[in-house]
Amino acid sequence: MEYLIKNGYVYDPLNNVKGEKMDIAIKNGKIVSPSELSGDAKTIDASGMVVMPGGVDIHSHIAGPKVSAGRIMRPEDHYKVYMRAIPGVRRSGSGKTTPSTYVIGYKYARMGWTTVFEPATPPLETRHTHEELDDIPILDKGCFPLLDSNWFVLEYLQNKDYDRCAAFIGWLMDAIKGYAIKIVDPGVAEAWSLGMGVGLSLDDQIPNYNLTPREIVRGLCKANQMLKLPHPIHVHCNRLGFPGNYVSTLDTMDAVSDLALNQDTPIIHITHVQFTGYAGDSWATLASGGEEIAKYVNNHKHVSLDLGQIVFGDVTTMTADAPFEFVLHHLAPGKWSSTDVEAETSSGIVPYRYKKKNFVNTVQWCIGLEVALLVKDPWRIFPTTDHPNAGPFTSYPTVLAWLMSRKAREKVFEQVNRRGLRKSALQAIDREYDLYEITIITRAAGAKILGLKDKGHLGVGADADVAIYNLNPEKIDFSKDWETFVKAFKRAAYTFKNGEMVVKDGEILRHMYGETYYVKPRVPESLLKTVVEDVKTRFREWYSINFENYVIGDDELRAVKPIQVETTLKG
Amino acid sequence: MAEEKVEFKEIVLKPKYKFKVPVESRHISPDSFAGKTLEEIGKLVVYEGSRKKVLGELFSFEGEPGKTAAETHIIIEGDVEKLRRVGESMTGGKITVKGSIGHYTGFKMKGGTIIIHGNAGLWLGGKMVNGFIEVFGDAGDCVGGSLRGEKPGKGMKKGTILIHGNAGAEVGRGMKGGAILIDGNVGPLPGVDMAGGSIGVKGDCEGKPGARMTGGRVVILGKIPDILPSFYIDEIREPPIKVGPERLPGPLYVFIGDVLADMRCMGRVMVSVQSNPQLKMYEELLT
Repeated sequence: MEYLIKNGYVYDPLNNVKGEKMDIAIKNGKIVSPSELSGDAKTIDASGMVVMPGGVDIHSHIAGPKVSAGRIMRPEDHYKVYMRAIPGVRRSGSGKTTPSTYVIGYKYARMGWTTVFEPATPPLETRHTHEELDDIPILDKGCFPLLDSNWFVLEYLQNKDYDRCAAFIGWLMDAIKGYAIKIVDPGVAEAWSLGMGVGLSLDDQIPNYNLTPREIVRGLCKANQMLKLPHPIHVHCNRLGFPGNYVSTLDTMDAVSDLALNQDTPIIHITHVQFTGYAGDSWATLASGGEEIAKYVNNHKHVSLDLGQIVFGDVTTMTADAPFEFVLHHLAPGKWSSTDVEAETSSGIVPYRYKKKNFVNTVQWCIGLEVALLVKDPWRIFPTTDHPNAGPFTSYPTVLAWLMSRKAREKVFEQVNRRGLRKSALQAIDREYDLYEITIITRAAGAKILGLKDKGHLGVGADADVAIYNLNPEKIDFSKDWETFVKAFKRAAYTFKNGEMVVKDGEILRHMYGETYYVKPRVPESLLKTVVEDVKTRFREWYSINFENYVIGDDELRAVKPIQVETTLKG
Repeated sequence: MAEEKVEFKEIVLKPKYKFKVPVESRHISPDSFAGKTLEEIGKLVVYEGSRKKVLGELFSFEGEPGKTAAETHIIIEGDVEKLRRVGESMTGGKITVKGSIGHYTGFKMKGGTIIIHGNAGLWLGGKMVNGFIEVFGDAGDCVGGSLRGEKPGKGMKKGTILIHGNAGAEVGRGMKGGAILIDGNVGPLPGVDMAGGSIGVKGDCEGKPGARMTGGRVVILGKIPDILPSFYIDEIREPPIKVGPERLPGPLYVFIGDVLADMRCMGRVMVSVQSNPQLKMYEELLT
């Protein structure tokens, strides 16, 4: 099917198109120049509408064993929100904070998002993650394996054997179809599985290993650079969720600053920075450390951030940081689940509710926005809600409205805890994002930091993932009329995925599947052989499954898109 | 239960055939019927299985509804075990079922009366806010209960449920207030997750009364196999105790708990002394 999208206001930051009236042509799933279309192309009148690339979400827990466990734990989350099946069009599903797989795909597409990455999957259970990702319709997706407490990685790093560590990660990415290195509270899963403590600081010793979290972050950052993976290391910092942890976050960012070799692209991505941006000594004296973090990011080009912005209401917190979930369970009594994944990682799940009148929750709400508004470079900040930890992904339009309009923020100021509000500089910030910057943070920057060359822009040759919103940027002043923006972004006028129209007027038109991205680093034969032999011999001692069952084949996935990576490793 | 003295206008519903699949009809309630003509009522939406239908296809009507919900008396004649969600969120008026009825009867009801002459299904009066329900037959599981996965205290808030037959498991699940009185026996786990209110059982209980309770009381006059180990004996109570409209006679062993859910042990499980000689060992702990 061929389409010609006529007269829309096109926003395409990667090609420097800033709200110009242009025609976008789609043919065979790619963007082409309008002259290439044949006569029977379908014309879509987008006059008075905004045309953008499809949204790219780099951090959203949409699949995997913990998401599945979250669904099982929370039947009450599925009673009220549901989607009816329409035979031949879409399938049914339910859930708000932990939606079922079909609903995830549909709801993202309805908002105009087409690419989503699952940021934490234990390598051992990645087969489950891929089964679920395969079930999510419309979206293109990928997953980041957790490597911070993997015994192989820890041992290589302890021996300072960075070549083999990199080779192992290279092999693992290919074997389990991962995309980037995820680090969650480095080393803590190891301490937690031995029943020791509820967290480690950056320079604490990891039990059983002659290692500190700092060395893990540095070591994996080096390995990442050797492998030249498209995405930087994706770090969930130490001491997450504890007051005063912004220092730890700054230390983590600074720990790898000397590894940045005048690169333009970040080498470390700090995720859900809101949870690691707390100043103060206790919950009672909690304050925002957002200003310091933003200052550091403005002065250093090697860091990028995503927010983990709080949205008031029900959430299901789920993370591989099991000790923190243990702490949270005692702060918010109720359900709690905890898991240890053999030789690799751990995880926990706790349902939670963010309340407007709560002091701590108000400070948390402020920190996310404060960081987003103080960081000057929109290419290194991503407006996520760490779905479903700080809010469901369906509230992205609301989060974006808070960034775009001081009025929208002021409306919340009136409702939240007064004392909490004074603990950050948010009230004094007047900055408002414009639509061009919003396009950068939701689309172009995400595709750029993930290294997806065909996503996030509308240049000729790009994948035809297009979102059209019923917004007229010439007529609407977003800082005043943010409600219109929210309404338009919640239900896109059209969404195209791979050149197919999947959403029209905010309703799903068809059920189709995207591709799963993974990286395939080219590790030299001899090095690969020694590493795999090494893994094979110890696999029997450490794991309860066979080595052959660990590796996931291309044929097990619905549709794969490997990205070949040339490494700097030598055999 | 004191009924308001109002002139009811009656409307009689008769099923046109025996339902074979579940029929979900939250519109069979005085609030939906009030002030409508029979023709309008016939057009209210119901789901028979997955199919959307109108009420007129399933029922025949006689009489007329009142102008307000409080003046409307709905009478359902015949066994409608597959009919669900009758009287959901009703605020007043009366429903009489001359036969048995299905699940979620009186779910989230806010006022009014439901009288059932046969048996009731699961979640009778579930998450009820206020009102009165009387069942002359048996009731299913989770009478006045919260839904699965909900926090303690999200069940029945106020009102009274009287059951003259037996009831199933988890009576008063997550209950926060009000009273449930059962003349017959109950299944296991009466008062699970309970945070307030009272449950009276004149018959036997299959076990585990008051598991995870943080408040309220469960009174059992019949036999129970055992008391959960997370309960402590507190006293032997001689005077009768009030549950809903009735006073249940003593003497009763009073246990406090559940210590696993709340260290303060605000919940009470009261068990008849006469029917339970196997609990005599607890008396030693009282001195």
